[in-house]
Amino acid sequence: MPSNRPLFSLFAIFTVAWLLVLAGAVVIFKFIVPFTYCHCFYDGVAKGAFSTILAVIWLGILVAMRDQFVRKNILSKAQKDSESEREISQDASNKLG
Amino acid sequence: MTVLDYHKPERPQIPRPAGPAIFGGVVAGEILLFFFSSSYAILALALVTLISGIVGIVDDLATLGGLAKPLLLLIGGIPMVAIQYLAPGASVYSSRLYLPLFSHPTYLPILYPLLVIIAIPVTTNTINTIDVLNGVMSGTLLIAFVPVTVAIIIRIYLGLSSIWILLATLPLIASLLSFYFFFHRYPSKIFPGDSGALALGGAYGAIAIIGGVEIVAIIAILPAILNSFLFLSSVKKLVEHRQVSVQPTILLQDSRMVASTDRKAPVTLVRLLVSTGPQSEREITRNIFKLDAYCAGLALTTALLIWVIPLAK
Repeated sequence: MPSNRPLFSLFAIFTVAWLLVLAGAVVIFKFIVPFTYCHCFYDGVAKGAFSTILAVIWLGILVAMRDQFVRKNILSKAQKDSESEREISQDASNKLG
Repeated sequence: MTVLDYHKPERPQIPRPAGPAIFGGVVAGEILLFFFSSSYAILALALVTLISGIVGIVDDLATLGGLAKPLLLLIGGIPMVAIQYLAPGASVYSSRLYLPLFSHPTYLPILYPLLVIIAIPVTTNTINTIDVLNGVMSGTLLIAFVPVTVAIIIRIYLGLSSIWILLATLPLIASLLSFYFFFHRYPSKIFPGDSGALALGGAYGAIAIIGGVEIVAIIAILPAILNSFLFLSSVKKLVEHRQVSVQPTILLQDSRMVASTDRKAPVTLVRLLVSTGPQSEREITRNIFKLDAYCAGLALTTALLIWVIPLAK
């Protein structure tokens, strides 16, 4: 019977993603985009740069959560399985020896 | 055309694509509504669905590359922007973005049309990538339509949207309901194919734009968005699922799936769900629907934060 642990972890990831989408939308579309320093080309470039930096930080948070999930639930399990397999084969060879 | 359903023990051949029937019905319904309403927003919705569906048919017949598909789907967003500029008085979209906790919208006259054009390939591809197991794509969209429809009703109540936009969701919801319950849910009788997934994704994106419920619609399909993001961020390039060399899950002899422990395997929602033990297709589908329902709740909360709470202050 598989545990519900991944589902609960995913609920947590979705809650964080939801907060990031809301906060990101507000910061970009309420504060960065409508703010006008000068009506010139650099104004648009600065807005694009700030929005991109924010989006990269946000995506970085999601990537970090993804890596943590994969390390905790998939790779560590694979390592444990291979260790237990090694112990079983060691026991078998000791008995034979 | 038929394809193997790999996740069943008997490996049945399943007909595909149901896409032309799905988007044919949706487009016919929307055009009928356009003649009654004269709403250009509904005409734009019909055109987006049609173009996305046609790109999907091309993809069904001759598999498009990971980059060619989104580029072709950019055409899907053009009718919305073109009608807005060419038809006098056509209010396809408003360029006003309503944000949570702020009563006044942000006016984005230059940025919004660009976002409209980008939104269609994004939603179509996102919905296409969640079409992984029996019933998941159509079920996810059906659940996502609950908060989207509620948000449109709130906007109509506040005088921000027209009743025709709500009626425009009906052909889409009706075709999704009939497709899910009669053909697509486990065990599937027909697969939608890329034409079905892209057309329905395009229609969903168009409804979000013409209804003015963009942020709610994004939150409602967060499981599909995250699945797409996890996949792209792990393979680090625009690539078709079929072109991935290491599969994210391993199919056991009893047709249950377990997560691949290969470090090179792409990260997907299904791989994360089966990370602690093997699960059957039905169990995984049920778990994806639980995530969809949770995100639908978050989307409803977002709708309250955008339109109800700022007015109550």
